[in-house]
Amino acid sequence: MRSITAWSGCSALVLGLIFALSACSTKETSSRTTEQTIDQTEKGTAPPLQGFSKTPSEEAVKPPPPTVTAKADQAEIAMRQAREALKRALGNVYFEFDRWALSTEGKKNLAESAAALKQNPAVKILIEGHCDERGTTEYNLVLGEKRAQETRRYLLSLGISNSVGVTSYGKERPVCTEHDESCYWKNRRAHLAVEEGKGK
Amino acid sequence: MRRPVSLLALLLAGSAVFAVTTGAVEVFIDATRGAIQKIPIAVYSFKSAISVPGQFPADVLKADLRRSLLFDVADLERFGIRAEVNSQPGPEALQKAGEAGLAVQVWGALLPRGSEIVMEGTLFESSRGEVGRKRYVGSTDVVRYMVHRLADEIVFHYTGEQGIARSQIAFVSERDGAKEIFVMDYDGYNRRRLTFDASLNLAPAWSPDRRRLAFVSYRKGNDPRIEELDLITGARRPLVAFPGLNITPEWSPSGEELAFATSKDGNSEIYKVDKYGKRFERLTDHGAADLAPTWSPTGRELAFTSDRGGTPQIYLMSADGTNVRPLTYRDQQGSYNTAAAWSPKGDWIAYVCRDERRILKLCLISPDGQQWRQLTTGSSNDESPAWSADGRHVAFSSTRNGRRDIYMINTDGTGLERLTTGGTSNEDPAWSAP
Repeated sequence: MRSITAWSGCSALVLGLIFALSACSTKETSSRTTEQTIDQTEKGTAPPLQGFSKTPSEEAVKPPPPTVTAKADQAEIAMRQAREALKRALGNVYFEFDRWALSTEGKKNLAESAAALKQNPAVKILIEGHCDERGTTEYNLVLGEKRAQETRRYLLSLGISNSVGVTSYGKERPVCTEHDESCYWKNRRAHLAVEEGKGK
Repeated sequence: MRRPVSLLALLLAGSAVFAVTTGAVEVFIDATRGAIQKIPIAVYSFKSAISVPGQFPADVLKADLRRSLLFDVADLERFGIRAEVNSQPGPEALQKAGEAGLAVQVWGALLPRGSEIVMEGTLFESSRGEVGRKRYVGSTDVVRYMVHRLADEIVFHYTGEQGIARSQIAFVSERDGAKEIFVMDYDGYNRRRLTFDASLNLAPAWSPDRRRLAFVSYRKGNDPRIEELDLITGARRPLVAFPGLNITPEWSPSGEELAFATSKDGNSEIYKVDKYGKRFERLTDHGAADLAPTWSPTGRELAFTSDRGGTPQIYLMSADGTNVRPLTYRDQQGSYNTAAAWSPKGDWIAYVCRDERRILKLCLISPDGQQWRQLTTGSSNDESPAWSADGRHVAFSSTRNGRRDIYMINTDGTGLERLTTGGTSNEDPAWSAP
């Protein structure tokens, strides 16, 4: 039992944990306390429950993982924020509740966008599908993608030669947050955004 | 290991089950199903020789024991039981509590030890005296965790189950226009931020060993992908990064596989991949959208959302993608049913149902479709159900106080409790194993 625990403590070395190092080097003299700490580190879970005893041994308690944060790349964040700003600068097509078919007005707006895109055939665009809040996060992602794909199909049918990508933000990026139809319709949209970096 | 609990056998004769373990007959509380008779328990203020007042661990312990739904935590004042301030209960108080029908009594002490502290807890039964004690050592910052362990030990002693007081809830919090991944204790304390992406992160999913979180990230390029974060090393890697949407990750109960949805084939389909992110297997093949898989506790089946019938509904299939059949029907459960979550006990599937007002609520349906009920009511939007490991609570997001926050509720609709504050909104909870 003891040797198994010590071994698992050493395997934590692979993870590059500094305190696992010190635990291994002192495995012969390590108290029960240290063993349990390693155990917790290894599995991500707390040490197992041990039941009550009239002569209880001491159990070390540490905060559970996570005790780390994911690394953030500042350059990447700056680039993404610039790109997002650019994206917000293009036009929209709107949809009916729960639907992804284009309306007559939507088709008219797309015809205008297509004319502009034909003037700039090297520009790459991205169509983002969005939804109002009256659907679940998951299904709205899919509904938004359907809206974006429908918009892309129609744009391409108008004869543009630009590269057109699609993505979906579901209901995660609303343009307004009131809980009524005066706002909902604005969020049920496909948004045309210019991608950074010109040419194909 | 554990001794028979004869007193409680008597107390709970109506609801106890008998289990044979290593030759000995033991009595458990059957904690898996339905209403059970709760055990009356007395929790005394701890004796404290440190800066943390003794009432603090007692209050945390009472809240944990109440949430276990196994104990009836007594108001000692009401029984006229007054233990002396900052001391352990004397024989008189213990006897009075026993006579008042409080079958189980708990007390404890906080003691200094160098830069650390020691917490001791004692479990006592009125009919047979001390059952045993626990001793925990750590910094003053971990008193809550010590108490959570003690609470789970008490639950374990009487049920053989692990308890949920040590579990964690991962969630999505909106800050400065970005959605980031956070983790908190199951009672809403000790909130910790995991990502600083200034982007959109969604749908966290715990590995069963609590070591890793999978979630959806928009931080690279246009397509959301599924990434995995190691909660001990901080290492982060993409697991699923096909062109298109890669969403709704969910680990299998064994932790060997991850089910998810991707639109790489043109429309959203459900796939699974091994934990190394190498071997992919397609499970659905339909022109409509299939998404949001959730595993049965055996890992042999999946429930998921599909709009193949014209509106989104919950379907079931075997874990190899065969035997697809509907679980919810438009004419019975309404025109919009999504985001299924299979209880770890297997008896219920929670999901988001949308009522005639187009408001999202939570509903429960048994996997055989025979039982159904609405879990939440009111005019708020409730979504993203996530089960506690004991199958007795559901965490979810709700707009019931004007903004989106995370709440928990018991499966019988009682015990609503708000867990989050702060940020612009909090949503998408995922509840870890004990």
